[in-house]
Order: sequence, then structure tokens, then C-alpha cells
Amino acid sequence: MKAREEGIIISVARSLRGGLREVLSSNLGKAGVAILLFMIVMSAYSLYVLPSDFPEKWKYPTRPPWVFNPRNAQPQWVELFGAKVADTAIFSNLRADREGIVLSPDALLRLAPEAERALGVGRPVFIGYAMVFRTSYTLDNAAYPQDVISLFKVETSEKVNKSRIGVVVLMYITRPDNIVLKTAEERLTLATLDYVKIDQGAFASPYISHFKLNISEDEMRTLYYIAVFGKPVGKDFEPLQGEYQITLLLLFTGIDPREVQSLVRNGDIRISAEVRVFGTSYGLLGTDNYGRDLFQGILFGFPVALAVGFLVSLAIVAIGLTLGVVSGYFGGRVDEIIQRTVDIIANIPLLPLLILVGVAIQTRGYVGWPALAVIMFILVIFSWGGVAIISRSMALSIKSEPYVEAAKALGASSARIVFRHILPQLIPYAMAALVFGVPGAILAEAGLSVLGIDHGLPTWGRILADAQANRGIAYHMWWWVLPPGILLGLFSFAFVALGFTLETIVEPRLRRR
Amino acid sequence: MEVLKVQGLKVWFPVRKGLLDVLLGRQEFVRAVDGVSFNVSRGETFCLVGESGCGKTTTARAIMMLIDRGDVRGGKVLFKPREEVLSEIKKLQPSAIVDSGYVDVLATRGQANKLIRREIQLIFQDPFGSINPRMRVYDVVEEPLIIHGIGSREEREEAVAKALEAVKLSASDFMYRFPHQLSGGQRQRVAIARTLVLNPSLLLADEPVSMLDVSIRAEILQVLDELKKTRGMSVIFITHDIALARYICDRIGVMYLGKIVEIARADEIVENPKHPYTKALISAVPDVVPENRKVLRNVPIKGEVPSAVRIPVGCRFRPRCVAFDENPGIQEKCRKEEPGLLRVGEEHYSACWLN
Repeated sequence: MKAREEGIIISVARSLRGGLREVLSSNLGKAGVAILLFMIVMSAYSLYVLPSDFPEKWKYPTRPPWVFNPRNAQPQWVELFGAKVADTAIFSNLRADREGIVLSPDALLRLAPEAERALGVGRPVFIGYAMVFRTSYTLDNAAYPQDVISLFKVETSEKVNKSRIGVVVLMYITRPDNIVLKTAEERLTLATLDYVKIDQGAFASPYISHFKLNISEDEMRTLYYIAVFGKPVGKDFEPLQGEYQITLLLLFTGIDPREVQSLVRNGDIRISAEVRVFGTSYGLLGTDNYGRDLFQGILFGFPVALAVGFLVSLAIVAIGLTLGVVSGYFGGRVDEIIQRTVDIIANIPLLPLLILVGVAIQTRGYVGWPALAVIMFILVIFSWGGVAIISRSMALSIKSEPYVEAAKALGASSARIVFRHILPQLIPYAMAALVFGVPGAILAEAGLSVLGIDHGLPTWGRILADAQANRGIAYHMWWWVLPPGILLGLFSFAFVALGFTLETIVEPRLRRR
Repeated sequence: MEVLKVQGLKVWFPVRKGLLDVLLGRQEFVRAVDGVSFNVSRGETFCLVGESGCGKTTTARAIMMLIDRGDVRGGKVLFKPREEVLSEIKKLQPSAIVDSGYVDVLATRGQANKLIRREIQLIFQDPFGSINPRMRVYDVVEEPLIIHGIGSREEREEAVAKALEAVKLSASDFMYRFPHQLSGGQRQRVAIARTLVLNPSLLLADEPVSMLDVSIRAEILQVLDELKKTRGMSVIFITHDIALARYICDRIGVMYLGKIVEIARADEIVENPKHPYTKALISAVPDVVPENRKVLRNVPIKGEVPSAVRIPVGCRFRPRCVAFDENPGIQEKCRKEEPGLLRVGEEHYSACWLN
């Protein structure tokens, strides 16, 4: 028993080593191995970088963190090729650079001069405690950023009743032409202080009168980001390049200013801000129509592709090989049952069945890994037939080899004959079948995603499917369609290349040398 | 004393049925071996001679228990194993033992069957096919020992080395080679070594030299002969070459269409053949006299071998028999009755109505 296992392990190792040498001796094989290594490295990186709840996050595109990303943004590197894009800038962990008690308008203006110069605001009269956050953003391309959003992180001690403390948040943008726009004004409490965005109506009317524009206020609202980051030229606008100053002014109300000041100074209230300027470019691979970072989605696809491909292919080969060899070696009724099963399976149309199953698992509420597992299971169940037929015919021909008869004459058991004499001959074929099976599984998964079977995981197929579902905007969003498409192609190419080079081992007549 | 007694062995393979056959309830058989009986004594070399398709190899495969039991349609193969093996079998499967130490080989099951396989070994015709190309020489020769659980690793290694030396292969040189690194003769010797490690008492050799170059044949035959002499093995040698058979065998049985038609001591059968088929075989042997090289010899046989599915009624050799045409008086009998093996001399039997 021991000797037999040892024999199999050694012969498998021998075939593997021989196979690798053969693969590396051709350029096609080298390319395949290189791409495969790249996939493996990316998978490892992905598992290391992405949080474990990433699929869950991806599933809800209208929730954070995606809402704090620019939508439809191109990859950042397009700038290197001369594309006019506005950078996305994230200024995180900003601390208040000025603070103080405001007892008069003058005091406020000393803290935040923007407050007065803001168009049409006049002199605000606030009595309270104020904090000011500042940052600057440089627009160096003729493009309009899409939005500015300010996020706040509020930490308080138990002493503080957050909902009792009111906060007025004001966001001012000082443009390169020295015009100050009050872009947001919101009345919140410390408990609800999360983020503010550009308020489309906050500056429309003063903006129109300042530039003496001949457009309606409603029209102005829809053009808000063009108004903020552009200047009117004739009837049109053009982007205004240069440095923009973004000022956040927090005024605490409904509480004695001195109390707030002491709370802040004692560290009972800690507030930090993050300003995000949504450009038209973002990250390595841009974002989709919800602002989801496509690079992260693609990254998540690496391990999934490898796992799905290998697991499905491995299962197909294992089942097919075992049943094929059993069928061929034992013959008779067993053979008949297995082969007729293969016939039946081969004649059931897989695609409609998979679509049906997909709908079923969706209505049953399976999502994520269980749903993917069901799809993989179906793929395996309906795909092992080919391997079974080929290994059966190989087993049949090996079975009638004189050396198998010789082993029988020596008294060898069926197990010994199968494991020692038949299976080792099939290993090269099994390797090639395994490798060829991988892209099939992945492409099937992608195809099903595009057909609308949603397992909820961000796979490459799923990303493509999302792009397809938003075809109106996706057709010019090449960064949404090309990367998953190219990766699917590359992935398949790698395995087909490996398969072709392995094939020369299975079929030595194909060898060129 | 006989080590092997084959009694009326019949191996019939069913012909695959067509729809019509199923409807008519017809089943035909290829009667590959159709009632073969012979004995092999201890230390004897017995030859089975005949043309291809006559059932020599099937007979050997039946003795080796390589034929599905269902296809053996009659007869017995009785084998007398060594004492220790016999007593083991007595414990394992007493029902398989027939009188006085003979085991009904085809009736053995399980462990008893495995024990018998240790005692009877087969050398195949094709040394290129009979060795697994993925196994090294050492693994090939060691395999029987592993199968039968003999010896520790060291003991097995020693046994393998001994067996290789016995077939005149240097163990240190050849042990770790793969079959494709060996010549045909070397491979056949490895195959012989594989049968030797178990030290069998009966060796079947199925045309062991017919696939080898003429130059190598002699050395393989020499190895076999030496083994037989030193180990006292009995050998059943299967060949289509009656001249070769005469050279190595003690007795010869001539097979035709699934049956032994003549059986006698080797010299006797060659010098004094009785059956028309044997006569034809012998006259087909090339003449060694150089002057006769180009003389067209008249081989007394006609026609083709009939199909083993439809064996002629009466004497099965009748359609090809020249003597049948020359003796009109006997034709009636030949057509109706099949001749049995009749004694025609000392230890000489022939199945022909003419004798």
C-alpha cells in the first residue's frame, strides 16, 4: 500500500517536473507561465489588501465608501497621454487651523475672511464658537471637477450630548480670480455632522448677478460645478485653472461658546475634516457610474477567477478521470451506466439550465459565495463528460496493453493495475485537460454574469455585466469595459498557451524538436 | 509425474449479436479452443505448435487464468503446485483441490488464485508491449514481489539483482534504466527476470523470440534452457515454428483450429509425422541444403483456414486436406465423424482417420 502511494507520488512529481521543463522550453509556454505568475501575485496582493467585507460593500453602490468617490471617473494616468482631466484630490485628516469665540461680525471675519466676501451673503452675525478648516486644490487642466465634498469625523467624550450641540457648516470656495463662493450652508447637530456637498442653489442667484449672466436660476443649478470651476466666456463657460482655496467654517450654536471652547481644548470634542474634490479621473482604473473604484473590483476578480477556474476544472478532471478509468477498466454494466449518463448529460442544454438555476438562486435569495458555488457545481456536473469519454478510451487502450495483462498474470489487484499502470499514463492528459478547462469555467461564469445571473460578487464578468447594463454611458467608458475584458482574454490565453505546450507532452508527435 | 494436466479445455467467445440474431434467439461463438487436452511433466518442455489463429495463445491465456471464466466453456486445467503452496490452498479453498495434490486452477478464487499465480508464469511475445514504459527495470522486476508481499525492501532488492543476473543482465547497469533504453533482447530478458523472481514451477512462453532479431533469438533460448535445467521448471513453449520447437522441446503438440491434432516426442513428430497437417507444416520448413534453395517445394495443403465460428462438421481439417482428396474411400467417415487422438506409436497420437 505504502509502496503504491509512493509510486504514484513519484510518477506525478516526475510528470510535473517534465511538464514544466517542456512548457518553459517554448515561448508560448513562457508567456503562459508569466501571465499565470502575474495572476497569482495579483491574487495574493488582493487578498492582502482588500477587506474581507469587500463583496458586501461592492454590492451596495449607493452607500459609503462609494458615494465619496467621483462617478464615471477615468483612470488617472490618462493625463500622461494628454487627456484633459481634473485630478481627484483627497485632503484627509484636516485639523482646524483657526478657532475662537465669535462675539461680533468682525471677530468672525478675522477668523474667516471668506465669510464676508462670499457673494451676496452680507455680514453674517453669529455669536458662538467657530472652527475653520482650510485646504487648497490646484486645477491644472482644462476640465471641470465634478463636486466637492467635505466629510467630518467627530469624536466626543461621554460628557458631551452630541444632539444638543448645533453646528452650522459653511463651505466657501475661493477661486483663482479671487471670487469667493459660498457653496454650502447646513444646519446640523454634532450627532448628524457627517458630510456636506456643494449646494447647487447656495450661490446661483448671486453668481448670476455678479457675472451679469442671462440664464435662469434653475439652469444655473444644473451647471453648478461648471459655475464653481469655470468662468463665463460669452455665452459659454470655460474651466478656470489655478489654485482654489476651500474653507470650512463650523459655528456652534445653542450652547455657551465658552463651554464649547473648553470642551474642544480639553479634547472632549475632536473634529477632523476630509475634503474630497471629485475630479474626472480617479485611481488606477477609474470608477463606474456609482463611483465604485474599478481597480478594487478588478483586483478582487483575480483570486476569484483563479479559484473558480481551478476548482471547477479540477473537479471536472477528477470526476471525469475517475469515472472514465472505472468505466473503461471495469467495462460491462458499470461502463454502460457511466457512458449513458454521459450521453444524457451531454444532451441537456447547459445554458438554459444555468439561466434557470441562476433565476432560482436569485429568487431563493442566495447571494455571494453560496450562489457562486451553486453555479460552479452545475458547471462541474455538466462538464465532466468529455474528460470521462477520453479517459475511458485511453483506459480501454491501456487496459489491453500486454503489460497490463502481464500485471494481471502476476496476480496484481484491480486497484494496483488502475493506480500503477493506467493512471500514470493518463496524468499528462489530465494535466492538459485541467489547464484547458480553467478558461472555460471562467468564461462560463463571465457569460452567465453578462446574461444577468447575479451572484453578487465583483468578478470580472460581473463588472462587464454592470457596464453592459449601463450601456448608455458605458460605451464611451472604456476603462469600465476594457480592463475586465482584457484580463479575461489574457487569463484564457495563459491557460490555452499552457495547454498547447502541455499537449506536446501528451501527444509527442506534435513536438517540433 | 505431470505438473499440469489440461483436460478437454474449451474456450468459446460469444460473437456480438445483431438485431436479427437477438430476434431469432441465435448465439454464435468463436471456438478458439475447442477441446484441448495435454499433459506436461515436471522438468519437461512442451511445445504447442500451429499457425496463427489456431488457439495456442488462447490456451496459454486460459491456463494463466487471463480468460473471463464465463468464456471457458468446458474442461479443466489441473496443476500440481509445490507442497507448501498446496497446503496453503488446502486451508484457503479446499474445494479447488481435486485428487492427489492437483488444483483445479480455473476454480480457484481470491487468495488461492493469487497463490496459484505465483506458481505459473507467462512470458509474452512482445517485449516492447509487455513492460510498462514508465517503470524502471527495477520496478518491473520488483513488482511481482510487491504484489505477493514477499520479502523486505532489502530482500526484494537482492532478489531483483539475482533475477537480473540469472538472465545475464548486469544488475548495476540495468536496474535503473527505463525500457526505452533497452534493446528488444534486453527487454525480453527483463520480462523473463520478472517471471523468475517468484521462482515458479511452470513457465509459459508465448512465442518469446518471434519478435526478436534472429541474432538475439539464440541467446534468449539459451537463457530459457539454462533456467529450465538449473531450476527444474516445466516449460510450455508456444511457437509457430516447428523447426524451433524440435530444437528446444521434449514433446510437441500440433494445434489446428482449436484442437491438438497430433502429439508426440519432438524427434518422432518431425521425422515421422502422421497427421496430414503436421506433414504440411514440416514440409514448409525451409531446406538447409543450399542446392534446394530455389526449388519450389510442394506443401501438401490447400485453401484457407476456415472461420472458427463455423468449424467444419466431421474432421475439421477436411476442407484443406490433400489426403482427403487422395483417399475417396475414407471421405464419408471424414465428413461425418471427428477423429479423436488415436495412438499411432509410442507416445505418439494423431487425430486422423487414415491412421
